[in-house]
Amino acid sequence: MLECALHATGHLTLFTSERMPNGYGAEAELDAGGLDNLSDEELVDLFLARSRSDRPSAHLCFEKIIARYHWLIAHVVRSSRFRYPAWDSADDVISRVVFKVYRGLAQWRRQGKLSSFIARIASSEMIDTIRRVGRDKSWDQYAAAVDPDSDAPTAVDLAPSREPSPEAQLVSNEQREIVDRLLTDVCKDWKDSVIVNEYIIGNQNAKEICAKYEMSEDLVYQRARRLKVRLLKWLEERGITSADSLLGSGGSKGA
Amino acid sequence: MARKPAHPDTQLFDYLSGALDASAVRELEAHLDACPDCARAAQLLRALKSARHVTVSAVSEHPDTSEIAALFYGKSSRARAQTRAHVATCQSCAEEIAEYARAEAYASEYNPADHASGEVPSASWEMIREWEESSFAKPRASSEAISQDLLAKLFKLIGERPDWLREARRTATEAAAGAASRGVPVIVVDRSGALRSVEMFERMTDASGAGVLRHATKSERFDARPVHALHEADGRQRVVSYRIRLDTIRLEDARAASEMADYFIIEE
Repeated sequence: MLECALHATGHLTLFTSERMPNGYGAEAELDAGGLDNLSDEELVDLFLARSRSDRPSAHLCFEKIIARYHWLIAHVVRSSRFRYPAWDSADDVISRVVFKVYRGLAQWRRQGKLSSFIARIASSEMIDTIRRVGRDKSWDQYAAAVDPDSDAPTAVDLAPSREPSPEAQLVSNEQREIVDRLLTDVCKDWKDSVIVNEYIIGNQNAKEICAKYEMSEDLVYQRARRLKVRLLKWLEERGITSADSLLGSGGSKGA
Repeated sequence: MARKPAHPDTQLFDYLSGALDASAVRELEAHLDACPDCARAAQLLRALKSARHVTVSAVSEHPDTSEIAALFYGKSSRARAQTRAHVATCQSCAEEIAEYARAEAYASEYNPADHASGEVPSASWEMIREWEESSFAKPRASSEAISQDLLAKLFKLIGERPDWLREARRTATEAAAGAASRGVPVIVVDRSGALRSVEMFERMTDASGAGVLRHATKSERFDARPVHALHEADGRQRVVSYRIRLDTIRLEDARAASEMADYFIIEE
């Protein structure tokens, strides 16, 4: 299949590239014009084949792939709800996404579009970045205002304990166990999960959920009705038929 | 005989969220007074809303990003039930699902011809160069991939767990019955050789025709970890080492690709 793709381009001449920095991969490469005519599948096949033996050519293929999809990567990253700190900016995220696309192209399954594969990598990188940033103490904008040598109690020292009493904690644990088991059994896919989260136990309306999760309003209502039936059936089967028995964990806990 | 009105499901959710106007609230409350089923449903759903803080405050560890991605992109049966339950109560993980949904919507509509072409950022080239020059980009020779000490521990581990491994293999075989791919149990150990868990991979052929093992739930949490294929036949032991790329082990060694290794081990 790969050979057919190569022959189909008709011109496999090599020439020098000046675009890659540090002279890296600047020796010889495939004819750029021919690559423009290849499909995504053919271009990725060619990239993978050349990666093993001819990196400059592989790099040229990769340049062509990114020429097609850089806009998508940038759009996914820059239009996100996430905000990045200056020391790990959207440009940094985009650079890492492009690197991970390079590293991961061998994993692309041809049943899905290349755009979808790349968008997934971009989203995952954004999420990893936000999780990492969230764990980094230097991201706390108030940290710099506190004198580390001061003997004054910090906000953490002054905060009241959030630990409930042992009795309350026991009830909470039982409630949590029931709710966890309920949701594990009732939610069948991600749409169920977010509709439960945002609509059934949250306070978002269907229109907001549609816009946020790219689904139709009808789907939200339809799923919510089905979820309500499943939720109530699950609770009833376990003897939980009132708010008191749920909040007080008074129902039968047998599965 | 008067027909019983339909249960106002949609209005009930909006009522519980405080999204109904005054006249709709009066109408719904009149229905609740007359319909014990809806009244009980309202009571339980309200209780679930109030129980939410219990589960949300208890969230200490979020699923791995790859598990969130598997939930969004994968078939429902492949995503872990715990991940679905977690997303149902965790706002930050729901936000992450929203990011995947938004990106997928852009991707499905995207046509490169409609947009200006872009270039590989110089920072990306730098990362690519470093990666290609590192050992991560190529399979490592067995002699440098695993120490004799660790190798001995791994064979000892396998020898001590015949029933346990047999059960994992049996489960894998059953799961793969009738499927295009074969399940392969992969043992996860730490650097000291201590057992951590068993992960299921699927043996298949990738687009380039190479034999690969792909994580059954497409989890990428073992990305870049070393894997060792242990062959033991006729009293002789042989080891071939690889690196996992995202969720896949590419079996570069021809013999490993053509036959089932005895065990695969991941060092964490």
